[in-house]
Amino acid sequence: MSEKLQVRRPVYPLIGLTASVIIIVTGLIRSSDASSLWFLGAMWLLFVFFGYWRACLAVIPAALVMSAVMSSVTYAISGDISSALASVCRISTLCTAVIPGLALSPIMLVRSFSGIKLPRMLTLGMMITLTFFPLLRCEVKQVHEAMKTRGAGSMIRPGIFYRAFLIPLIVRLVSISDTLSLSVETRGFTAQNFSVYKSVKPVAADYIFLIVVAAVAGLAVAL
Amino acid sequence: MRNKYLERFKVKEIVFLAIISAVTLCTCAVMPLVVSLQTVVFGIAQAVTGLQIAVFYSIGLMKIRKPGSLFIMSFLSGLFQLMMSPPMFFNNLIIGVALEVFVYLVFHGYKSDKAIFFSVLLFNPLSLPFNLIYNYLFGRQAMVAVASRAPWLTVVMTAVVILISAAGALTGIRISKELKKSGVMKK
Repeated sequence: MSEKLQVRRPVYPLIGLTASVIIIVTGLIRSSDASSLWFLGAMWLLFVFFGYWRACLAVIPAALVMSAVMSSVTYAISGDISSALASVCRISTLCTAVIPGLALSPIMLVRSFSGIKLPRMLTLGMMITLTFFPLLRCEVKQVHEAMKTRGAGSMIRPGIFYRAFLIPLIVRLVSISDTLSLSVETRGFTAQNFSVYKSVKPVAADYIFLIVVAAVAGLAVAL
Repeated sequence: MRNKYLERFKVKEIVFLAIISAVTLCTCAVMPLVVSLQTVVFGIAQAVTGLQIAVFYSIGLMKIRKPGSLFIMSFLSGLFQLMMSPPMFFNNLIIGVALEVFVYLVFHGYKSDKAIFFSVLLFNPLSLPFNLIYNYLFGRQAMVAVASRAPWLTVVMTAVVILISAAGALTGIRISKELKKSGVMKK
């Protein structure tokens, strides 16, 4: 969900999620057969056609590295080339299925969930969970820097990791949680009688996208 | 009814549970690295994520001792998985609901530390039979084959997952008690 990968007009979030589910189910069903890579290639091209080219390019290095590592490990353990190939197919399936999610802004996802009347408290939780990662990375870095400044020693040692890293990190998380909830409450957040700033609704292109994904997946399973 | 149930949570409680879920999700990012080994070593994914899930979920439950807290954490953690692996999302949801029912029937809520310990202890090991059933029903049967190929390894890995979860739950409870004692974590 990096901002750089986001699409200006992504597919309706719930349709994008459905497409991910279809891709992953089809990919896993067909993972024992190398021809499933054709299906995944077709899905990848479809995403490029619908404007997801940044996310499509971003998954390629990850797919290559993970496939190389995982297939090597699988081959080393099982000694079976078909198992290694199935591993490549599973990794490729995973990398193709995450494309709609990578290019989706969390706010659009939450707005679409609000549109279908999902409980307000859950949408708040979802929004926080999905947008918390950069802040968490920052906090981890700061706690680590503080450890180094105090000369706390190596994180590999469980005692040091527990006392000098884990405890301060959780203290920071509690503090952030208190500040964030105060901020949400002072901005007048309520669970009832709310409105959505910009409602997100599916358009014809979204339905066409879903039909094409379902049709290609159906063909891949049938053939 | 669903809304009324959730309204019992305050904003600050939902915020805390969401943050804990995000941290759990982040620390479980090692899981995709072993996903391919699932067809070779039974329960490897649960073994590498058991500690993090148990530590953070028990911290979440120690602070928010309300029915539904575990389900909310499992839902929010599972949300990200919906895009990567839908079975994992449904796995989280079903186990979350099952454990909420278990805690309600056996311990009548999360008031005691024992309830928190057992609910967190069971969370990760319960995904093992769920994955087995899922694989068996939906045809790939890879996990079923792995489990039956080396039964001793299956037993050892199941024991390892349970031990890791127990260690994580105890660590989480200990951290929460320390933080409560120091006044950092209030109810």
